[in-house]
Amino acid sequence: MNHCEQYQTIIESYLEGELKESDQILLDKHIQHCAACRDEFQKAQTLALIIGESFQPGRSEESAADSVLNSIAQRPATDKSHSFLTFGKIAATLIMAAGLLLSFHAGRTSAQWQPNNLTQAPYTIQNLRGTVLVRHSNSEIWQSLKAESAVYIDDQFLSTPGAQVTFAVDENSFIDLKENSMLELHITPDETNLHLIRGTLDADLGSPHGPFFVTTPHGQAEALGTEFTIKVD
Amino acid sequence: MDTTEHLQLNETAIIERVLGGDTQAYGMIVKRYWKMALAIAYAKCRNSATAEDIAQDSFLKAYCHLSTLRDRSRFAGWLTKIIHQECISYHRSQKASYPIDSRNMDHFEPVFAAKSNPGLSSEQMDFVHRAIKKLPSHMQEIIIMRFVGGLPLKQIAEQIETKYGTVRVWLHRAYKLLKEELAPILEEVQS
Repeated sequence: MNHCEQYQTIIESYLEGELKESDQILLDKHIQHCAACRDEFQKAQTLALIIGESFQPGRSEESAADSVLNSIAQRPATDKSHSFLTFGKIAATLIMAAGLLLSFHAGRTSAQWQPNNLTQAPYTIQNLRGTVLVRHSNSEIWQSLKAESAVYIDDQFLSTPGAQVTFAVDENSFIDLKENSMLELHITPDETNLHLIRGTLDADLGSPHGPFFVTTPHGQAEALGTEFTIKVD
Repeated sequence: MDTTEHLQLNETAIIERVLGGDTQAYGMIVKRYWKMALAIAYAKCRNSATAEDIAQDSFLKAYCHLSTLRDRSRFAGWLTKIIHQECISYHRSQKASYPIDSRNMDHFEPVFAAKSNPGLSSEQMDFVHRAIKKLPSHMQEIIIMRFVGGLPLKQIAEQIETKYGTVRVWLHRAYKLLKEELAPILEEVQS
């Protein structure tokens, strides 16, 4: 039986789609006189064949491709582009940032804001580097975000140069807001919508998630994979 | 350069062409992965019309978000994730009328046109689909990517960003389970 072990490895290579021609020749010779390996190899071949055959589509690949291309052609012009996330410059960004900073400085002289009638978001702050400002939806005041701060639905975040914050959605999913970025967080029971006004957002969604959108001043992207980066210049 | 590397390079070049505005080039990508996409969608939803819709929508979404695909050589793995999400969304939207409990699979129609499968009867195809449906989700995808999509294991590991050794264990475990589950068909076909 030990003699057959090397041929079992070759059969495994066949299943893996990585059978070398030299090994195929060795196996062909061996199974001429080894019924056990011949049976095992035939089973592997047959199983691969019936799985492949059982999923033969009713219509051809050409027809499917035509259908997809037609659907692309029929989409509105604004939806046809696959590169709408490569945005142009936003001239108002600097003005907006200046306004936000002025608002922040004004807020520092006011009484500390207290959460009131806000719904806490299921996000926690994982890593916080530098100064990131937060403004809650029931306030005009920008505050400095702390590592222990709670995150609320509809919060706005502004990261200063060199700053970065990571929000943990759950133990497998994280959202990084890079420096010089501004983000609004909108969460409903049905969907998550991150509105990136400017800057860069990295997401790593390791867990299954419901509808998850990132909107920008230039359009909307739905998160479909598990890792993506969105930039607004 | 082996065939796999050659195909991957070609695919990267095709995707660059699509991103450059050559929409028709996307047809080559659809042709290459249509069968695999349809099989993955069907393995998850067990309804032919829905599987076609999900596969088509997934290709459309992939097209619209193509610029977000960081590694152009990993389209198949990325598409698989999109299909997975589309199936989850579909199940959520249809929860009331479309239970995904495998005990209810008898309600679903048999799929994949028998006319294109002269070697297998509709019943045999359905038997195979049911056997694959019984596998854990990650094993279903690997089996389909390997035996329907025709991707070698090394490429599958790269596509789904999982260690080769792990994917190898999954493949052989799934194969062992399928070999037992499909023993009656294996005997019928081999006899």
